[in-house]
Amino acid sequence: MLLPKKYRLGISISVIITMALFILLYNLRRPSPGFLRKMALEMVSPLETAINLPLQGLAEVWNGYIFLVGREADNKRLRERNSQLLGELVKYREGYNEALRLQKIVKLRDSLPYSTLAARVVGRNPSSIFKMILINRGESDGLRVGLPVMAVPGLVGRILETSWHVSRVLLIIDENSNIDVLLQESRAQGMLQGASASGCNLKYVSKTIDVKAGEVIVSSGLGGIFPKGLPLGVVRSASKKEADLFQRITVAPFVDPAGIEEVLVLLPAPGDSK
Amino acid sequence: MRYLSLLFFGTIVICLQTMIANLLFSGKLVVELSLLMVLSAGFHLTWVKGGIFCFITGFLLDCFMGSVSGLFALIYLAFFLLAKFVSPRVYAEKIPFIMIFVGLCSLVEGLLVIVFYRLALDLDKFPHVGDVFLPQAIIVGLLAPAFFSLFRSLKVFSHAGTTRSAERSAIGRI
Repeated sequence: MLLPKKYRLGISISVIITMALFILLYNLRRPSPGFLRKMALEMVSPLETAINLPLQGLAEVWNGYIFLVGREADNKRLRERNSQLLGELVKYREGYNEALRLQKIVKLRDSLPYSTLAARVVGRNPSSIFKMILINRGESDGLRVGLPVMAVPGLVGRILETSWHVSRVLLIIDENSNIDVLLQESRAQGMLQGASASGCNLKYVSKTIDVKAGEVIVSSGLGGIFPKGLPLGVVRSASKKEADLFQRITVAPFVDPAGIEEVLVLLPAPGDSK
Repeated sequence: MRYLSLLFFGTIVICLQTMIANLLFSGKLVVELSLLMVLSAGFHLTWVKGGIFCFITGFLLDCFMGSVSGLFALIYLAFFLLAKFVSPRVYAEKIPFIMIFVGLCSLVEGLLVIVFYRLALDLDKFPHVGDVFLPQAIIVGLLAPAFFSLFRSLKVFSHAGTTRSAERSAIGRI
């Protein structure tokens, strides 16, 4: 080296500092990237890419983890909110359905030429040999044995027994139930007897009468229990056999006993003691 | 060759610190590992080799960070000279000293950058002292002992022109 040894260090450091200062001042005046900077970026770029790739994967995993940590709390909160809303939805749906049913009951009440009393079904015993339901009205509400009970769109049965605040209703599908009825089109008379799960059977209809499936059956008003014209069901099938005196007619009741929740009890006219 | 590998290592550290900043702090804070390297170099490398190393590292950081070329090159060079000046006079193995020294250097570096931008480009970066430079200085200060130890155990600066032991033994410890 041409430089004296004792000055070499100081001069080298000064050169480096001067270079740094020069680059800084030069780039301050000339903001566009210089050759050195471009070259550095070009050289470092592949290295950065090589490091970036695995770190990018790591970053994704990390961000995914952070994301999940945040989402876990969100999920918990949303699940709770969802349960709460579902509960409210069920409540409102139930209320809506009840309103619809009550609307139908009200329509039925308005359509009937009798005074009625609405009651709620509070019990049922479908598995027993008797097909009955329990309603939340009794003698204190003016109910008595034998009063017809209706639901949308037809007759349900009649009151079998009453206490002060509840009454038991014998459904028309009970085998002990016998109602004098008319076929709405042919006006043929018959006896509608309960047949449990299969609905009802219409008895004592002459083979000479042409009965069609789908024909509506209404109460005849005979027997003194049910007023005339209350809808009961439709003919499901009718068959005539040589050996029989009468037709064999199966009837589907209008009202599905399993789905009854509110009913209307037809009240007797004032002064009617029957 | 050893010295070239040190430069390569410095480049990787700069790349890594940018990635780590993005990964952990979404780019808001930079754990300036390159400053740790520069200060560590001040305790281990010779004047010339260390000076060149810090100059190149600073210049690369300028390129990476998009700052004015030469800014970090000059700052790193200044910090290297400071560390080099301090190194024979202190016992640099003490953890509290390393933490405080590095933390202060990081803070001063931030202030220098602010002052530079204010004077040269009329940009007000002063509001970032509290939310960027101070936490950055604390983090770097806290990490410094571990990284100094790591650099030593990886023998980053060995065989690249170390002079520390000779100088320190000549001047003595504080």
